Amino acid sequence: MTNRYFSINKSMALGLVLLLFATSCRKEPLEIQNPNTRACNSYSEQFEAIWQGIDHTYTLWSHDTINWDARYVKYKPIFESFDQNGVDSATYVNTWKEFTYGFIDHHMAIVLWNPVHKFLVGISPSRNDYGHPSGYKEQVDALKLQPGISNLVEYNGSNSKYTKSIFCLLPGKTADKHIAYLRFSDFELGSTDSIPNEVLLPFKAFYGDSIGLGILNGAADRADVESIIIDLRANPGGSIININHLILSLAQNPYHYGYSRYKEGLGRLDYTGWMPVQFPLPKYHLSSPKPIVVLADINSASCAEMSTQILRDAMGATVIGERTMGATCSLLPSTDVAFDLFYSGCFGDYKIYKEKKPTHPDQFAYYVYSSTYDIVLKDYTSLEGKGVQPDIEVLFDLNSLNAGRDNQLDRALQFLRTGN
Amino acid sequence: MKKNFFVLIVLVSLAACAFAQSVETTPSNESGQPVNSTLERKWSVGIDLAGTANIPATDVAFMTHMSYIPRIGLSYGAHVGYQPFKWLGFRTGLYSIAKNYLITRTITINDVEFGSASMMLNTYLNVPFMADLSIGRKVRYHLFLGAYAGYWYKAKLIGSAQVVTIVDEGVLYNQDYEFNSTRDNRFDAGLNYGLGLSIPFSQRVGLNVEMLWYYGLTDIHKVYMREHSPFYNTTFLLQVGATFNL
Repeated sequence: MTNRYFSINKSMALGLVLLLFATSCRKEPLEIQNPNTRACNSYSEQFEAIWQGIDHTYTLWSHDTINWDARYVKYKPIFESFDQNGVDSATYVNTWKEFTYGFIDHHMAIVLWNPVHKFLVGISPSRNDYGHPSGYKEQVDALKLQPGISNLVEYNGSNSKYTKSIFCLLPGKTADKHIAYLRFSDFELGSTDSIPNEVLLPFKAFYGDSIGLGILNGAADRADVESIIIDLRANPGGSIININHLILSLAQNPYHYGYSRYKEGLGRLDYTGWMPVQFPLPKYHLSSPKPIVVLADINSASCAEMSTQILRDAMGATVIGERTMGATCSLLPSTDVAFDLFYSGCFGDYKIYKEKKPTHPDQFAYYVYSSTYDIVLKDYTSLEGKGVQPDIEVLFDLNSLNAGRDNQLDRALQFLRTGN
Repeated sequence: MKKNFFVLIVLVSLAACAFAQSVETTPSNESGQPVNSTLERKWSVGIDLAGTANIPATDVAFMTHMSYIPRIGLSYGAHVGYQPFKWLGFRTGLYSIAKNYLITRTITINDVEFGSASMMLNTYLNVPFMADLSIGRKVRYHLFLGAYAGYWYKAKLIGSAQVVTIVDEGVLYNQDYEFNSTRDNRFDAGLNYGLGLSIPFSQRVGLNVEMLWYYGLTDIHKVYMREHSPFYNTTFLLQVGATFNL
């Protein structure tokens, strides 16, 4: 009996020792500083902060193909050499451009400050193989030369704080019919209660007086308006809440756009589940469907691209022009509140974003502007980096514009008038 | 790491057997009388049902508004036991074990709390292998020491979060989790240990009540990035079952 219990005790003791030994097999967690508030006092610390911040908070790792670890290994010694030997501003800027080049997030921008060179450097890391000037002014001038144009109402942005816009009627298929044309420069309209009336006149002409609630007594819903052109060229986007009354008011039903998610954890591939992106129907909307053409180009971005996709998918619109930029995800600029809630997207010295100057000019500083949400379509495909493809491709032609002819608008009018 | 596990299991088992054999060469009953060894060396089978509480172990680093919170679940399975000696047995089996947890993040703005919560409902198939050290006369008291291996079989994500549009808050998502071959390590292994008691109703049938811990030693995430933050599960089971002696 004694021997048996002795053997039991020895077995238990051995097992417990092995247990304690094995429990030390778990790896220790990392120590990672908060990239939103990290202080940097050297080129290499600035590099480390941005590399690490993007590593743990960049939302689009599931779509991106950059070898971020290899970039760390390659560029860390370079920035350390800047600390030891100094660096001229051109080399500093070019090194950052090389180091960050190629992210698929087409919203991404990195703004840098260092106390040595003392100026802000802005870098756009996304790959852009095609581009051209805005053409907004030339296109508006060409519009005004269209035969039969009437009811022209324009706000030309004399106060740069407000959205530029233009509305007119163009001749339709027959003499008694019209095409309603609306263009606006961004989606920053905001609350219409606080905007001067002259800014809103083009919108009111198109939507009616209650533009915050959709289309009510506006030209878009008139019986003589047989079709509509929404011109989103060179529109960089803005606030997504504007999509509801500006775009969904042209629909007859609520719209399920797709899904969104954001980061949930330190790992690059730690995400929330997919959350549906739904747009409800505004209180006032088109009473019946009408043919719609969306004019878009490579400078149509963000909300403008989302709107292009909505107009085509929900309302059967025809997209004419070029593919859009491919900045189709959504973001919240990082105040401390936004970062602490999402831990994804934008991070850094918010004062650089807001006021274009660092909080501590004697330190190295940065602001990384990047998507907070990953957004995909209903079939879970992503348009990031690809954009919305046109149904009818017509490339930007500056020579044509300088001669007073907008080839993209002409093609849209031909399509609406003839069906081809 | 997998190789170390199997070595560990073998070491524990061999050590226990070695110690036993070093002091006792002839099996005997509690009165010290020699017994027919074939009658004492018994096989048994059983079925078990348990409530689980899973504790996720990971670091949030600078994400201080985020928390990983333990969650409960269910486990069920069957075991096979072999009792070479009255005081020492071995047990293995196949179990479906829930290792759930909740991820929350909350922030307070002007005394109003905003946030999101994601529940991960994970089902693992685990095969434990334990040494069962026991004492007692009619009611026996057990100490289990061993290890387990298994597979992360399926998972579900249920959550509520703010969405992109302004009009919907608290939107739920309830979807099957799609495993990512880059991120997810579906091989699961670790130590298991616990205490229990068994109450015989007859020579053939008994009731067992156990408290078990499954201490995960495999990171549920693969190391796919330079700065990798490990994630482990520790799962507590309160288990009841029936054992049938063969």
